[in-house]
Amino acid sequence: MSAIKVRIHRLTWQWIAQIEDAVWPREGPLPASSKIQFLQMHNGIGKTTTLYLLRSLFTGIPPDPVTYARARYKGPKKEVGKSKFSVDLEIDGRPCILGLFLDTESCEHEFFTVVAGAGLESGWKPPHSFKKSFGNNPEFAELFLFDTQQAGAMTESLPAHVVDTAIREVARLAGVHDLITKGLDQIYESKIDQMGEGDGQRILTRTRNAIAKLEEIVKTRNGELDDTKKLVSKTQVDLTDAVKKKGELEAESALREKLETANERIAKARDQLATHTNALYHLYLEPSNLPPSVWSTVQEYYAKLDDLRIPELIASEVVDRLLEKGICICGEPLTQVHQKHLTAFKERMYGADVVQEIFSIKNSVKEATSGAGNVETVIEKARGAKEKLDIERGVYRRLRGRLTGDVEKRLKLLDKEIGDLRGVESGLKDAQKAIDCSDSSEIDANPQYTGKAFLATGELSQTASDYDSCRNLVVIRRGLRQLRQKEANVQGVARMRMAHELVEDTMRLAFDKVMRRMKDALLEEANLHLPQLQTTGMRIHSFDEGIELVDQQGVLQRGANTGGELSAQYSFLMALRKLGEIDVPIVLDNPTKGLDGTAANAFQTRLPSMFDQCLMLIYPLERAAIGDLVKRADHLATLHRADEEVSGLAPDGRAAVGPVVVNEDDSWFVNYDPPRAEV
Amino acid sequence: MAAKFILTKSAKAYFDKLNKASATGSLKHDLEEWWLCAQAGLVANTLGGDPEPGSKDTVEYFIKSLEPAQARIRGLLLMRHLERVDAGGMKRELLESEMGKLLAASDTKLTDHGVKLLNRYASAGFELIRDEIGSQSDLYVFMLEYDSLIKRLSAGGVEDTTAAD
Repeated sequence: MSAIKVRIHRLTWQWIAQIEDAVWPREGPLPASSKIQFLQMHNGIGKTTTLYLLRSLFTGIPPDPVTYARARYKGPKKEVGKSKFSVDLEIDGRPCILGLFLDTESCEHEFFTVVAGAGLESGWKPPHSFKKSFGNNPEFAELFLFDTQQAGAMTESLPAHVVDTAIREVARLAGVHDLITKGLDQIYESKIDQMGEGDGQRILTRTRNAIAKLEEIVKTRNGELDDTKKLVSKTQVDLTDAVKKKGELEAESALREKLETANERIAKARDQLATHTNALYHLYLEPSNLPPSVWSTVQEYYAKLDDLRIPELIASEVVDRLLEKGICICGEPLTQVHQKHLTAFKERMYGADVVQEIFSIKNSVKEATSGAGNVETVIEKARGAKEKLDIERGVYRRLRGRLTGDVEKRLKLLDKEIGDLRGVESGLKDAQKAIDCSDSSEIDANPQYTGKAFLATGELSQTASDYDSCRNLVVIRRGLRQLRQKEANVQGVARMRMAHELVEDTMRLAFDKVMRRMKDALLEEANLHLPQLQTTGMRIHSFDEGIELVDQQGVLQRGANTGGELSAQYSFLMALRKLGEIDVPIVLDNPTKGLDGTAANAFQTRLPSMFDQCLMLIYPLERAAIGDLVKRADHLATLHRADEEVSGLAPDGRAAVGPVVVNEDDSWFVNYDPPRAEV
Repeated sequence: MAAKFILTKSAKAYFDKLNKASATGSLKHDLEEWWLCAQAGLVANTLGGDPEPGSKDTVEYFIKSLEPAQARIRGLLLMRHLERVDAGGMKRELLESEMGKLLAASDTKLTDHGVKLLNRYASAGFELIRDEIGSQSDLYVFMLEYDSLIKRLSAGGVEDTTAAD
């Protein structure tokens, strides 16, 4: 038998977000057989607003300023009526309407309730079972009225108080918990009061004043403990965030190192290119390296001159010597005629320098083989170097494109922030430990935990003011217990006091055992679901400190990515739903946001079967990711403007301005494709 | 005073611009730039005019980087000149006389006429470089283009624009 059974039958909006006046479903309540419903609207119409207003109606907690701002009418109509939102529910088989009148300008509200036979009543007055489960219990309600975006944005999984609250609710242990933490003490106090005054009235009054004072201190310390835990939690979230950012920046920093390497490779490639270019230009300082067609022509020309013995290779100095001696090379004296011939012959002759130079030219041309091949080799090498340079430049440009500015500066700032946050976290944890430490040897070793609560004799003080400086709750409670014992003794009710303490201890023990069993069963069940929703091998390690996750290697993780977080929370919810036997509808806003393909597929096949009613608020783009689920849904509706076509525009191509209507046509639902500004 | 090799004003400006912008090295000496021009002119067998006013005298000898090639440079010059004056007739007297006009016992082993002739080839060669290669900002690209130009000229691919001798 279900602990509680709730079903959503109808939603009504008046002047909410962009909705003027709409009712879903259009005719009558939703059939009891309907399990999966889709409400489709593009962003801004009022999807998330609907979810948050439902949370207010489930918990009786007024909307927060953000929800007021969301709910304020922003549609095209000039004259606006009073904002109203209500939900028709069936709670344990009985109909009940919960609603809200909203003044979105002044942020004022008025709850109203309609139950059978009583008509409309002001205030939030659902049936007792509903009130007990959801009333003033946002953590529990939010598990079913699920904002995927908010859950995905969490950097840490569900905290302990949310998990514990949910387990207490589904296990119906909330009342027992209240009894242990508050109720028993109240009963005991009232019994003591009933016993009236007796002897030792003065001692009794003083003792009672001390008790009251210590109770006040316990309350204060509990408040401080809650605040400190919240601050620790927030600091850890900030710290995780900063570490994550640092990781991203370090990756960028690593990119810088790669850039430096790429730069060095560019410089090296450029040096190589310069070396080959230099070699090429030096080769062109040598004429024999000219193309063979040129250089062989030169060589052939000089060979021809050689063949023709041009020029005559006798230097003019030889003739000078013959003329000077007056004797021919045959030994005969030169006649005048001979001398005249030789003089004329000499005029056509060069000096020894020129003759030598002609020799030199001829020889150097003949001996120099063509170096054109060297030119081609060097050009090939230079082209190769240029290609390498272009490749390295491409690598550099691609790396550069991934880099953002001021990385080093931002890393330094983040390092400082992380250092500061770690300091804050450590300080807060010390402060928390001072309050909730229960290890007596540790308490004894830290006098700052106890202040003046202990006397020089080692006994606890019975003077209330000595506890002002005591931080530790265990010590204060011991002092309180001692004072109550004294009070009981003075009144002669020691036995009752003992009985009270025995009952309290026994109930606490029993409660802890039940919670332990519930957590173990939940853990087993949730870990059956989690592998279906993700493929990373992540598991839930324990629910003792909220949801604690471990990776495939069993290493504890502080939170996971969006898909991982959602998968863990969905798994917890599925397990809770099964073990708690609660029939509560789940309402999901943007259900697939953050889920990858595997998780989205698993989500479609597993989640709906776990709930008797699953209402999904989606935007059109999301439809494609959950096509299978859309096919299995038994109610599809779209909220759109009356003059809007499936294209998202009015027939004349302009923006639609008609009132928002509820369209339950399936074909319209699957074809709706407004301009995509909504991602 | 012996004649000097002359890098024309335009050529000097052209190579200064190239050297300044190039990321793959630069041409180190004016005379090397002059020779790349002269070589192009000699391969094309094209003579230019006298260097324009404001052109820069360099030196009257072959610098170290050109020293090993100087005999072949003179050889190329001599061949072009002899071909031009003899037109393939291979007349001994004419050729021997023309050799005497170009070669001398100077540092360059060239007469002033020989140096001036080389300067005219350099002038024509630069015109070819400027027209065919165009303005360049990288020595690597310039040298590839130069190589391509020399190959085209060797194959007779560029129109002869010889100035009056």
